[in-house]
Amino acid sequence: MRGMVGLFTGVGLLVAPGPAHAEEAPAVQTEQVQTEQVQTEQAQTQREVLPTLLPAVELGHGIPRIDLRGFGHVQYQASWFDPDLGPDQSTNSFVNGGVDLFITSQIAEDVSFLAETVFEFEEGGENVLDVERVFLKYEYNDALNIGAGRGHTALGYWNEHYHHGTWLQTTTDRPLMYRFEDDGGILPVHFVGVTASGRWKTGLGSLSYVGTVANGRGDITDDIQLVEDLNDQKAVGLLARFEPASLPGFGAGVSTYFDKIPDNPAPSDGTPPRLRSMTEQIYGAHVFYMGRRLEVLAEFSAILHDLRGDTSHLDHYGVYALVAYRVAEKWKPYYRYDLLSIDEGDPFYQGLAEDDERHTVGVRYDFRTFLALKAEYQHSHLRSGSENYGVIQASFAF
Amino acid sequence: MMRTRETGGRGLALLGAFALALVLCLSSRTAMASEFVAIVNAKNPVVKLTASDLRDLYLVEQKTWSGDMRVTIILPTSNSPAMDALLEVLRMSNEQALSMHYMAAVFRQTMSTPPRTGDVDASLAAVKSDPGAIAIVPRSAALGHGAVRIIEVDGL
Repeated sequence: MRGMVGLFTGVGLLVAPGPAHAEEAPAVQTEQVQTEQVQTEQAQTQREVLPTLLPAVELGHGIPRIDLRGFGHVQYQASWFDPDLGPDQSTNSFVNGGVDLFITSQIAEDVSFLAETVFEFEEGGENVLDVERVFLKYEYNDALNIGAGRGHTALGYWNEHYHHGTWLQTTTDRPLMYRFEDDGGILPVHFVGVTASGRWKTGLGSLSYVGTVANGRGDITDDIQLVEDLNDQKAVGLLARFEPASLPGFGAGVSTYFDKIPDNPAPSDGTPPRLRSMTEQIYGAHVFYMGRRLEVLAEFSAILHDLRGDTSHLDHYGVYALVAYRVAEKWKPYYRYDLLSIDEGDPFYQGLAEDDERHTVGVRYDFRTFLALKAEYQHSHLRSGSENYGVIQASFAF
Repeated sequence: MMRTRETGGRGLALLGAFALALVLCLSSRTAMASEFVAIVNAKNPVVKLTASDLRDLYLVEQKTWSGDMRVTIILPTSNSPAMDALLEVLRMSNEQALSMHYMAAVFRQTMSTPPRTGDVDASLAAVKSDPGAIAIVPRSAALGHGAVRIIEVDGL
């Protein structure tokens, strides 16, 4: 791997072969002597990594460069259900998890652009091209960034930090509460609109925020309104997070999101008509600790739906907690608890999701810096019965 | 309805328990090994940084100096003692974790490209030529360069 073209290299990047020490000052020679004393396997691995982090942007009068990067994963999975449910529904299969390509470009010193496109492979052999993000960002200073386009809604930690690239996350898939809209998800994890975000640092710690104004939900959960809004009332959201200076790696935050969901008198998917609009309020909270070895992440979300002209309320909750601990540098065993509680009779979630309680145990092995192998077992309790699921996944970044 | 409310309370209680446990358990602090220092361009008005500040700079949480001057971080050469000292301050177990962090930062549009690396000479040259640059070098190598100023980190 040493001497390979840098894994971080994108379109137009310069490539360096590795550490170069042609002429070094005496102080550097001292460093080298110390370095030779730690020729461990770990050091060998480390040496392969950072020489690949290369200079790329050349601002000024030239045309802005673009960098192309991406994620992908392949996996083998098997599921087996409670035999009391009837005929054997066990399945096992190899799965091509698709390719996630994202382009970044520093248009100016304070303006950047990102476009993310996912090539997905569906059941039945269909190939789908999904534009996930198209986002322009202006950074006035650390306290104020303005962005516009399609992005990831600031609902909590997971949705901001992880998405289609499973390599980024510890587990093989997303928590139940953060499923994608087209995968039975209950939260609006994507938005089209504008954001203001920033971060202040004080002696006590740092406070960051993300404010969002966006097209709201469409008439079904999977309708991310890209070029229109079925009602004029925009969705608004705010996330705030505090990270204390005395506990590096620790943080906690809260979020809110308000929207008006339009009626849907003639649904095309066969679900019953929804003759009234609904208000949606989402309240979230999250805590995390990202340490050298220990990773702890927990989030809670409450989704409250009120039908206009009706006194009934529909309350849905999602929660997950993840604990992982890195051992022997490359191994990271983990456990995640997921809980989804769905009020029955919500016309917006018709047939979409049900109560689900899931336990996930697994281990991640970082075979190479940008290639992770994960083995995972899940046990789910649903209203309709229990399900077991196992997966072996290779996820990578390039 | 009642059941979901109970579930909601259970979820909040779980979250609260996690937060409390974390706050009680985590209290460690780190400081850069004393033989290494941070250096900045002499035009940079910053005179002191804490370990927390250095972490924010190298983890791309803070991208501007006072006066809105952009930060340019220069990483030490891979597998060097300077890199080890930096990783200690960043609370990272190895360089792989740092690479993963930068990949994630690019994904989140926090940065467009990963930072540059440089040996001592390259780091000094970069800091001399870029008013917003910061690098980590041995203290002895940082002395005697007029265009470069040593920044104390946590009193070092």
